[in-house]
Amino acid sequence: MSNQPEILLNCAGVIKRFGGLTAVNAVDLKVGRGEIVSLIGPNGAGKTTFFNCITGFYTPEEGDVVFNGKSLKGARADIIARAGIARTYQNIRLFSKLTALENILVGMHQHLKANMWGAILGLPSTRREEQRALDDAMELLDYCGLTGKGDTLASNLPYGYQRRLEVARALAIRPQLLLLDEPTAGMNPQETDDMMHFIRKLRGDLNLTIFLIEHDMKLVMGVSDRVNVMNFGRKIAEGTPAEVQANPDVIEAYLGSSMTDKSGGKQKVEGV
Amino acid sequence: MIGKNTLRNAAYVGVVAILLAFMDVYSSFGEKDVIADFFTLSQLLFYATLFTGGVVAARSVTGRGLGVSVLNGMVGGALVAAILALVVAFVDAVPFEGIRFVFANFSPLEGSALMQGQADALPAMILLVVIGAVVGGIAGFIAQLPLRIQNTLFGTVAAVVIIGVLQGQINRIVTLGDALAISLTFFVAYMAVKALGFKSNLELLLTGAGVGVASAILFGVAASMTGMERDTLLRGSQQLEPILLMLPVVGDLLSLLVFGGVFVLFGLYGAVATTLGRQMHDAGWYFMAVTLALGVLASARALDVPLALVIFVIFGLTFAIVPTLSVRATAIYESLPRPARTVNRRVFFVVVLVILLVVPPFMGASLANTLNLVMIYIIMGVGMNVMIGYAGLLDLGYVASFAIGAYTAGILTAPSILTCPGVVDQADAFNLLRGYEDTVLGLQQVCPGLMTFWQAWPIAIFVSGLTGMMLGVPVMRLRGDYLAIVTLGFGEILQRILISSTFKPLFGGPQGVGRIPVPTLGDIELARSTEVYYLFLLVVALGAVVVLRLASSRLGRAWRALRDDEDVAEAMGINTTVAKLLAFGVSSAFSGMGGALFGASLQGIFPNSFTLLVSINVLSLVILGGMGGIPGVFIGAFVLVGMPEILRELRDYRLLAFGVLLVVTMLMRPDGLLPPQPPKLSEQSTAHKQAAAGD
Amino acid sequence: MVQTTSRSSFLRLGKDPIQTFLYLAGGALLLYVLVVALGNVAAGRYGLRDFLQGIVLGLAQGSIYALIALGYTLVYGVLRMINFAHSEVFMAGAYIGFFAINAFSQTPESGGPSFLEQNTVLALLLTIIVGMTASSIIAVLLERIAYRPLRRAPRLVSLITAIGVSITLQQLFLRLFGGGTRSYPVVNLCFEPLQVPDQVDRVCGTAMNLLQGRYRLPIGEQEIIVRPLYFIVFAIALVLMTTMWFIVQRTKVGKAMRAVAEDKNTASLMGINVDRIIVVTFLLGATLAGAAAVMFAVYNPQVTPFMGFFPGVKAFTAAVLGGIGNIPGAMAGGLLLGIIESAAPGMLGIPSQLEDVVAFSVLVLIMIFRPSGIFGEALTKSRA
Repeated sequence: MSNQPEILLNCAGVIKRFGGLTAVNAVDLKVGRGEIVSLIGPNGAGKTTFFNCITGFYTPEEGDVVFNGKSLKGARADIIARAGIARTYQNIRLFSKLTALENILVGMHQHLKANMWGAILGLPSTRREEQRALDDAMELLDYCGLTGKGDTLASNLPYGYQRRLEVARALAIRPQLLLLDEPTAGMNPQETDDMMHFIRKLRGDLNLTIFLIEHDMKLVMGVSDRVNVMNFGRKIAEGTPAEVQANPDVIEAYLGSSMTDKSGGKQKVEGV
Repeated sequence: MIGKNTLRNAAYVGVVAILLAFMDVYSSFGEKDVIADFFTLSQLLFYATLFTGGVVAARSVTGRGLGVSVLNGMVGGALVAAILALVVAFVDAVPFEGIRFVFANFSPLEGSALMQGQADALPAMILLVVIGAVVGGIAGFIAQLPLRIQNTLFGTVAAVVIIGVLQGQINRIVTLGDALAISLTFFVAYMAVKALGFKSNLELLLTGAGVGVASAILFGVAASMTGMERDTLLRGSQQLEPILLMLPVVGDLLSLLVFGGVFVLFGLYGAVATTLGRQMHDAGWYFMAVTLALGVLASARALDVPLALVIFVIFGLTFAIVPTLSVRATAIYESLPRPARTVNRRVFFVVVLVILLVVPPFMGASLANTLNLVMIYIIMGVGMNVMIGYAGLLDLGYVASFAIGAYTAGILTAPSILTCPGVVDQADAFNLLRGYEDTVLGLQQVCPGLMTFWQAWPIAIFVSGLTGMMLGVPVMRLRGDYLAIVTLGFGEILQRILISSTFKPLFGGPQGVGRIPVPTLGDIELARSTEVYYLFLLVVALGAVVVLRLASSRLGRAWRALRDDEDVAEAMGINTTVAKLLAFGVSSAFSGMGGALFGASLQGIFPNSFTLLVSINVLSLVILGGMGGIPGVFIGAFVLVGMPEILRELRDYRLLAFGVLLVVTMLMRPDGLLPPQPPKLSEQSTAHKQAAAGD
Repeated sequence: MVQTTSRSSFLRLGKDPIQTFLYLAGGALLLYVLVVALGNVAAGRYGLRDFLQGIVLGLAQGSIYALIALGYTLVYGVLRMINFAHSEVFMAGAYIGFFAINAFSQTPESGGPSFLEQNTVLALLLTIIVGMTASSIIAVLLERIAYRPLRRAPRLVSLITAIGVSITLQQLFLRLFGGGTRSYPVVNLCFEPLQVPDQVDRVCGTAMNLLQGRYRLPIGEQEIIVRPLYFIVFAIALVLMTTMWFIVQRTKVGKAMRAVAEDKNTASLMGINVDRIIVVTFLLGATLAGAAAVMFAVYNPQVTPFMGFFPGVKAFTAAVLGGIGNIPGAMAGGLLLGIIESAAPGMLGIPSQLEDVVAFSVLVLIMIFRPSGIFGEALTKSRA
């Protein structure tokens, strides 16, 4: 870790409580610029809550989230998005009654400058801007493999396309940091493989930093530069995929969880 | 043989029938003819109830053949009729005073549809059940027909019934000759294009124009020859002046040019309609059918059986063929290159514009008043659509901004304490007016308003938009249902304040603000409803354009994203607070704009016009039409505001119908009658345009 | 502790301009109210007597609000939906109750006193039961016809349906029973054991007239007017609310209700018939509303199809004041609102035409400062 690049995201001592439950307990975590970093852990370990603390959906009680040298603690979600952090959701949350293109255009919201009056009066500058945005959106659509699906309502897209559309919408924000919450949930092995290549391609093409939560160990081990492991709200391990795989605490966490959670946990360990 | 749900479902209808019976709907409309000497409104409702019973019963046994369907229909109809027969027996047995004490609207059964002309209860009851079985059987038969035939049949019957019910108000709109001229031109042009085909869009337009010219010559000659004498076929027998066909009789150049222009226009529309999108295509056919029906209606004193048959045929044919034609027209339209499509669409809009502009002289003041009211509700509906359709926020205090607009404009233009500081009370101001004629001039001299309508209007719009935003602030973080109740509270608070004597010097208490001058254009006072109509029309058109543009803009997308998922919208970089506030502001501004016009067109405002019911009306029409679309608002306003306004007999039942409609729409068709179609944005992208140009 | 996460924390005033503005505006309003109230007290326009009078009146009015508010809160707790039509359920109770009490008040053919005059307590109880039954039937029907099919529909859809149902019921009653004013008959109930020698009642003589009597009660040198009816209403409401509390907390059905409120899916997995429990919830709320309606109509005798609106909105305010979804909150909120409503106009010098504004203002103020109510759970974060 000595050769680590410039730190883009630095979470220090983040604590988030719900009533008596401490969902995220003093988590320190760094993501360097250009890295692909994973966060793994059994169900209910607090991973998504941690994401929510970064993106401003929750405000952590203690600790700080520093992005690009600026503290994001307590900032509204839209401010954080403007700062350059985009995310996808574990259970897909698209704007279901908007078309695929419109979903992407919503992602571009902050990059468009036209105000209400420009739209009402139909000013040429507004029209040009809209045209440009639309063309960009079309490009993103093609880039994410959604060619020809632009005018379909998001809710009418097949599942795999919905996943990709979520990524496309997040890319429309033009983020520096992309947070992916279980990008392959519900996908078959072939689709998962495609997603793995797509994530690598994203970093290569767009110079993105990617921070992802994932259960599929093949993907985690395949794409990550570093892996973080959470259990019961605490971070229990960090390191290269190989280091983490060998870490006794991690094995304990997964085996321990497999005793209570026979359906999910066991298979995941086999994946390791 | 009898389905297991047949009796239960029919019994539900029977329960509704009992309620209707005690609301007196089967008796109190006994006088109102739908078809002269044949069918009264109560009878219509009575048969409709039995029919519904039959349909509901027959639908409980789908897929078991015609015989079973008819049988179940008969049982259902008979059951509903039997339940109604029980009502008859009950009324016969119980002293009338007792019934009347509980059901205050109930009237004696003599002459009611429930008695079917019988004097005694028992024969009437037997007759009821027999009729019920017959009607139910027919319903069961119809329920087995293919869906498309069913739709055509229901649509046609509905059209005839609506025309029959409304006949008193609509039989003096257009003469048969004028109606024939317009609709035949459209029809022939349409058919000519179908028969001849066309190679380019220009050819299409030329065909239309040619048919127009030919038909102008034909009708011109016919009109000149008859000289439009009374009782010629073209004129009809009503005391109604033809407008279009009088032009060649007048005979000067201008008249002839206008005459020819109208024909060419409708010829063009007929030709273009062969290649238009579904709604634009269908609108033409339905407009022609309605015009023709109105012409037929105008040719006699009342709708009798033969005329009803003619109208039945007109609508039956229209409803039967239009869906097929529509599909073809849309297909051709979609295959056209963009420029040609634009041309065809423009022809359509010009026709619509011309129709809207020339309609007022055709209709009387009362119809114009109705139309104006409809347009006020359209303006409000367009505004509320921004809130509920786009941003997903339910504002039950919507009437507040309507009132604020009306009062702001009213106080600024009428004599008030602002301009007559010495006058404490409005009544005093009016006392000063004695000796003057009650005119705008006299008013202006004694105690002028602060400014003219045109100056006050933007201020009113601004003030209501701003207050709308401010009222939005405290509820910004609240969820939908809280928002509804708090805004409802705002509306009520405002109305109390307007009525209260505390603020009487400014708001006029229960008397409101009177003597609001009408808008003037130069020297012309827009006092009559047929004149204010144009102002309303302009506002509605502008409003629709503004909202359509907003909807497809960055802000509109932000609103719709907010509606679908507020948290995600925020995570996508949308400042949800600003977006919501703008939704509040824009919708309130629309409402205020309508309010100011409302006050000026009525020349006075009363706090009692600004009740919760206005908000509910607007909500209902937006919901019925389809949230998030502009055409839906138009349909909703015409159906929910226009129809009951014309149909005075049913006015008492209007709110009941609204309530039921809201529930039924939500249960059966939550997207409304005309839900908005998702935009085809990819066609507007540069890449697509280039590809299209390359073809 | 959970509260610190919500955006309404005072500590974060600077970050959210809207919240800051709200607090400033709300604070200014409260300050103004305080100054006016103190001014009126100092000037002697409002004294202890007025305040006590307000409390006496407010408790009766407030217990009616509390009963209705429980209906809102119960349904909200289980379905997360504001039952807009609850005010019409209330109206139906009063209306059908009217037909019952009117029938009881008819003098028999043979002459002599009517059933109502002869067995006043029994007749009134029967009327209340009729009212409760009518309200329950209406509520169950509307749940079955309108709400159940929409259980999984978007929130806006069920909200609009509820509004539609509300209008439908209002108009149905109007068209069926007519728009004319109907009044509950004046009922006297003499209570012999309590003699009020210095104030003679027209009907009861020196005995206390429990329903119609107004008695002066000396407070120091002044006196307030007290109606025994207020205390009866308060007592009945208390009994009903306690029963309800017992049902929810101690019975099996109550336990199931709380389970459904917590998580419908899990509850159904545990073998609870969710549909049935929801019906029971509507039923309970409606029963209370029906009882409240008859009591309301005994001292506000006029019944119209539109009578539900104001009590309904005020009871909703009460429910929100106590924290919607929270049963003790609804009770406390109702009483509190009743007292505020009867005390505030005098204290602040609000003209009688604007009295209804008080409740609405309270509603708006809670929404600004504490949308979760006094005892309530946090509901501010939108989860559509």
